[in-house]
Amino acid sequence: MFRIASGFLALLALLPALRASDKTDTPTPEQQYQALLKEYNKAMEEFRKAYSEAKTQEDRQKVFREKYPQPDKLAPRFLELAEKNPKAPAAVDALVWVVSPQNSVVTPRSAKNEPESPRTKALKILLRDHVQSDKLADLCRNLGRADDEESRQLLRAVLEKNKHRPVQAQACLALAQQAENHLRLARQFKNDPHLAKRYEGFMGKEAVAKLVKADPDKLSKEAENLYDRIAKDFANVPAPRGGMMGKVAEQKLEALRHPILVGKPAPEIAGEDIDGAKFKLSDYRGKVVLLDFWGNW
Amino acid sequence: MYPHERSLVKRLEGKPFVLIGINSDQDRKQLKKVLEKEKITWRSFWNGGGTQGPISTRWDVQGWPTLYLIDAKGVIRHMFEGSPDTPDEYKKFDAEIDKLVAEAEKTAAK
Repeated sequence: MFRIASGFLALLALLPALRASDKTDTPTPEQQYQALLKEYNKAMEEFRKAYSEAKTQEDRQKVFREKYPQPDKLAPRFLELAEKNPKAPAAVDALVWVVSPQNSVVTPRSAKNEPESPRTKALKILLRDHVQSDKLADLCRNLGRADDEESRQLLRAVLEKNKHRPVQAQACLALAQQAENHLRLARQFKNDPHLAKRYEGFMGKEAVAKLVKADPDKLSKEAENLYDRIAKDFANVPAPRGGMMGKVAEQKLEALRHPILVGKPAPEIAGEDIDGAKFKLSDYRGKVVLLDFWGNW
Repeated sequence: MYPHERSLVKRLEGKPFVLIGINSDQDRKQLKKVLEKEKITWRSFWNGGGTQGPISTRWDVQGWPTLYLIDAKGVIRHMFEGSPDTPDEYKKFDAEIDKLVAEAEKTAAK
């Protein structure tokens, strides 16, 4: 009985000291990351509330100007956290936050003289410190829609150096998607110079000029090589939209090797209709076919 | 687009022309209601329940709707990204179709 009481007293005596040290200790990188996230989410919530309560269009614009939490304002603090704790897992989370599509804007390449965006900085830090991280699968997946040199450098490094196959697979897929996108644009720009002109505004003049001059066959080969690699090394990794990557790669390779082009024969479509009855596109040979890819949404 | 497609199908009835859809909806039952409501009589391939289905992947479709015009010999002659939205665009769209239909009739008559 005495022993228990003394132990309890000893604990009590320790408590104030514990509290004091809690206060002086700086929070862990994970705590700092969570605090930043909380701050942002709270600001977003306040903005949403004020926005939904605004009565007129003018009020809504005012709320947007004054309350919308610009991710770029908070981004430097996420970056600082990552720079100060290069070994902490929370550093990766912080950098992924900065790069994620809803928080970052890709500036066109023509804006060379502007200071680096938080996004570009984050991609560079990821390349320098975190290529091996197992937390990069979602980030890599999102970079399939990006088109900047920094994202490609990171994806290439992840593909070669990361040890986690699902992460590598996403990097490979994203690189393939970027290459496909270049191929698509190169073909469109060749057919339609006006379109090329319009793209200069957000892609930058240089990037557009490069694609206008590019050889579509070479661009196609680049995408094919990446899908080949997926078929070979990552076939059994789940694909982002269901199914396996191997199947996606197979379909993409078929499409790249026999592209759908004006002036070329249409490939066969053999499938079923809405009721499940089988039919083929070639059933209608001899007739002009208007093929409408549609959906009711 | 449905009203124009309906009138197109009606106008070219009996001619060497067919409108075929590739539908990327998720729910067939829901879709059947739409077919009825919009009087969509033309046939559609089922893309497997989404925009990532096998047919739209093979055809590298990036936006909906995308339309392809294929001549009677099976050669792709035009691609339209998005449906026409001005009367002028509809006119051009119809003219391309009529040109190919006339071509097909001429070949058939030979």
